[in-house]
Amino acid sequence: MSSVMQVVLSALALGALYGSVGVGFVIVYRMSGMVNFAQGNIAVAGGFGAVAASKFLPPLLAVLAGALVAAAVSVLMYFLTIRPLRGQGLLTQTIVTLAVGTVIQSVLQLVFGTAPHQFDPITAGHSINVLGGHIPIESIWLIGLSVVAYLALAYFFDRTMIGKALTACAVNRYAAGVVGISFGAMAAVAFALAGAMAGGIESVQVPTSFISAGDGLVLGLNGFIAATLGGFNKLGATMTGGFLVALVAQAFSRYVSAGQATTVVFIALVLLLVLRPEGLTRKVAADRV
Amino acid sequence: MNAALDVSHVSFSYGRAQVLDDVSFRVGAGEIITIIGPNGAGKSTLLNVVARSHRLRTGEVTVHGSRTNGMNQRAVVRLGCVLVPEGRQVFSTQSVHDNLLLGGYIRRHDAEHIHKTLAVVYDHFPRLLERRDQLAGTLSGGEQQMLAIGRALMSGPSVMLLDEPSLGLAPQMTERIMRILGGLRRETGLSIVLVEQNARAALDLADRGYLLSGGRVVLEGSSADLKQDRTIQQVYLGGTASAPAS
Amino acid sequence: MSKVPPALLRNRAGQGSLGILVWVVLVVVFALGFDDYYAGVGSSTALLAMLGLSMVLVIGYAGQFSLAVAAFYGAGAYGSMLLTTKTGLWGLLALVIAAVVSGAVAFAIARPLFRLRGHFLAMATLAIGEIFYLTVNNSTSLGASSGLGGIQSLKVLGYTFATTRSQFVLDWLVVGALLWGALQMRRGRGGRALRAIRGHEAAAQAAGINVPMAKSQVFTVAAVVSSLAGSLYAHQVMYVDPPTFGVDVSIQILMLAVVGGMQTPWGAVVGAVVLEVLQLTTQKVLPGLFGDAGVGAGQQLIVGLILVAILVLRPNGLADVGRLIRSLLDRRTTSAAAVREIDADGDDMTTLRRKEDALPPKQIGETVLAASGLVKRFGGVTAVDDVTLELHAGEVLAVIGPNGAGKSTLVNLLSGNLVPTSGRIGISGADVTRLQAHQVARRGLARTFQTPSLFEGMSTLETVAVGAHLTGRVGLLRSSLPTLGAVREERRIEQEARDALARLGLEELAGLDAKSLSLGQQKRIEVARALVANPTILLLDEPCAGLNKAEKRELMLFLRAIAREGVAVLLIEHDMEFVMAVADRVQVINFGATLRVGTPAEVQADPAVIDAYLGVAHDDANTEDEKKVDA
Repeated sequence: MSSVMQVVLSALALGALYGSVGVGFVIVYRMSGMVNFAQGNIAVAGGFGAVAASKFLPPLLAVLAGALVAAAVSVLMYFLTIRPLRGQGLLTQTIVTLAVGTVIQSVLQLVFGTAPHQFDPITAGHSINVLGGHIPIESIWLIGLSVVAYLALAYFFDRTMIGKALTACAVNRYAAGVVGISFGAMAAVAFALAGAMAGGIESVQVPTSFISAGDGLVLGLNGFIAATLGGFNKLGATMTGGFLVALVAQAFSRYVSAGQATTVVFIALVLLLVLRPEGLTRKVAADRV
Repeated sequence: MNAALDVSHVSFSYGRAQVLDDVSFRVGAGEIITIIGPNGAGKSTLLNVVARSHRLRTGEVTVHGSRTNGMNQRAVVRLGCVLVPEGRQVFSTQSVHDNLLLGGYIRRHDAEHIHKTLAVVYDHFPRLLERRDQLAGTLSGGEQQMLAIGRALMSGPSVMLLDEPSLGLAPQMTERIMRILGGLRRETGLSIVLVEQNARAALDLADRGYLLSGGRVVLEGSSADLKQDRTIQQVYLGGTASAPAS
Repeated sequence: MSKVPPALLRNRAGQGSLGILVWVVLVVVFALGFDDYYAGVGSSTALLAMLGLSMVLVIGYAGQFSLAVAAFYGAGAYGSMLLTTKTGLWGLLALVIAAVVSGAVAFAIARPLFRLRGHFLAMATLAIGEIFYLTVNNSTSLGASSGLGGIQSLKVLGYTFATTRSQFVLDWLVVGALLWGALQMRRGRGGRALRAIRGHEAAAQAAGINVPMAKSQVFTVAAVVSSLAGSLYAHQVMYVDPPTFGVDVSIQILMLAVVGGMQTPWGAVVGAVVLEVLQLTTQKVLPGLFGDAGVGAGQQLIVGLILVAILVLRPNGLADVGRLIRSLLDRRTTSAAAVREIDADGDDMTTLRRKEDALPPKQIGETVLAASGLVKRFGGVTAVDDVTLELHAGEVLAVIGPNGAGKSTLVNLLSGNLVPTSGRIGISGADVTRLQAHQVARRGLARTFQTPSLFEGMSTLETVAVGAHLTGRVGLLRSSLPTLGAVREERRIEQEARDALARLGLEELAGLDAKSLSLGQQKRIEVARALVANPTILLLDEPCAGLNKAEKRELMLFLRAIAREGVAVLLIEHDMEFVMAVADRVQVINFGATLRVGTPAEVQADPAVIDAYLGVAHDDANTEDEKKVDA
């Protein structure tokens, strides 16, 4: 019982992270129809932003700084590389996001080295016991903040005019232009939100484990699985998807083999894409026909 | 006399294919004009050029005397010239009410305007009020057309460009939409440019008409005159049409 | 100019052998000139070029975004390592076995994998790469993270490739052979099919290309090439470890291929050399800037930045420069011919038709295409509602109707590009309702598309040659290693494509990039592409859009002529003058259902048809007096 609880608690924390990165994928994809392969690296850039800020700011503010850094990197990426390539095909855009991912990773390596980094947790203290499982206080922050961020995003998209305009752009770009919504401005907002969500939550995660410059790829792949489970469309299903990915990984590593857990998750991704590209939702988002 | 919309000598090409060749027309305040013509005549392109969805290269467009040549889409909507696009193009996954709010996006900070205009739209289209919270994609074709018109009204336009509102609609529904447009003009003094393939319905409503064929205006005149003109049937149904219209 | 003089062909072959000779001489000269260090660098550059080539095949030719290259590279390396050290096999045999196994695995996973497209394919293949890396890294029998060693140098026919120089020569000769094969493939039927898929999948399928099969084949070939590079790597470095075959290697290969240019196999070679030179220079410069520790990251950064810059500024890569210059030269010599237009004077279409009708009547044959009760729904919208039609050999049937009446959907149903919700379609009596487009094409149906669906980066001649796909049999391998029969077939296809172009008055455009031409020319090229397949049924979706008056007249005469030859023609068109002049029968559809079938004169005089087009007038309902309507 306690070991099951332990798996669930760890999966909740890790899943909140994967889900947040996945939400970043979804926001950008809905808006522009492209998958940003640099999403994981942007999140890691946010994490390092928080590491740097933690030198002279309290941890909670450092996390905020991390979110802002990731948002800035994301928006910069849009204006410097995605927007100039508007007329090009999907292939070129995707390659450029892969290249941007490499650039971000190498810049981080140059500045911070390859060694892992960490900073102090938001609130000091040891783990809490929940129904026989242990969970570090920082992980509660992680889960709590990701839920808050998710709710804020949901409110933004459902209730605010800008949020509705963003959705309108995603639904029908031409009609959005007809009513006077500027696509460029909306895309910038989308990239900023995607970066902030992924980078902020990644920053909260840094104190419980470590962060290194090369983390982007695996983080991105896990976030991508979460987004796929969300049908590349629904934010809530994406958060749930993040939890499911983490649950599979945690359970497999606890009960079968720690070493092969990641492999199993990626095999699941390939099967998922081929067999059920619509994820947990009913609508087919993946562009297979 | 200052026209609500003045389009002069507009030409347009996609790549090497010229779609519009020196097209001019004007609309007075409170006037309804129609641009009719067979498919492929360039009607949609013309409206998209005026609404700045396509870039204007040759020619000049003025709305209430202001040249729109360098403007983007948003600025043209601000000037009071709004497009109801072909095929409705509603935001299908958003509610009817949200669609209307988005129509007023450029005036979203003017709460009073939004409130007042919403009331006007729901008054004209009680069906939309009934379906306020329904997703726009679940509406019937006719209802979507009403929504598209309502959405355009939300920006408080003085000139409305309608692209094939009868497309795919049964004749009765087309008639109903046309009557609504007539009512709008009467009550709000709206100027309307109606692009239609359905020539008879359009000429019934409009004051004047232009016949577009192969990217050129081949005929213009009052609706009454155009209705009598045999050229239209020839352009639509081929050169040797002999039977009189029933 | 319609026939290629045999001398020219011989000349081309001569140029080919000269090229091979130059390549071999260059490789030997470089090998002699390089010291061991540079020969080693040169060898690894060659391996990169091989991997780049494998990527050019899948992404550049077929347009399928796969990032699995490093996994097959690793499979070859580990395969050779294990087979030679554990079982004592000869190196060459081990290399072949590893390549066969890689190819077999690739072929097996290709079908399900290539149902995915774009980003999702990229992500799935990226995951496959990561799965390979993790599996090897976690497997103690494969040496886990510390890797494996113990392999000997490759021995072929008693000669051992032990020195770096001999390896340099071997590697670059292999690159040369692969490059030659890839260039041949590009020119042949197999490569043309792949490039057609990349350009426009629906059009490729309509031309009879079995798209899933073609994708699987090219993925398999690419896997074999990658595996070969892996085996050579194992024999030359004599040690394999997981990071060499990780996902970032795939991304690196992708980048070099993009930098070089994906459209031509030369791009892989250019890209590999540029990347290697870049790394050599940065190795000298960077330690001063970032310290020794920063070299790896610094290199990645610089390569990444250069890639982003190249993508933003020159999306087609460096190797494309040559093509750009050549196309400019081409245009200079042919532009005068390209704008030549059929003279605009002459009889109008109606008169021409009257003249033709005076000729002995043409034979209307039996029913070749029959559709009954066709229905197509998209979600809640019924696009085609219970349409029944019959098309006879030797007749021209025009399907007309107002905008949005479901006409294009109808053509897509008939050609197999869409599957009907209900109803039946038969070709010459056989049921084809559920067949895919390429299978329908095999039954003698060819079609054109409403918006010109030509293939990016292909010349007019090549584009039309795609249409002759079903008349040929040379596959991917024989395209790469042309046998005498393959050369002959290619010559025949080229001749037929030229004949088809000539028939539509397009022969002067043969060498030009098809997508750069005018809309009217593009539409006519599509007709030529359909014609070259010798169809019994020809479907044309709005062939007149973008054609000028003279072109329309020519097209009308052309369609009348091929109908006289027995081809059944079905067309959708808005230009009524054209329709009435070209058609034997006209079928009017409105709101998805048939309104009237008859001769052009009957249809033109039908009040219901006139109403459908001009709309129903409501003289009694005076709009001005109407009260506000409750909607």
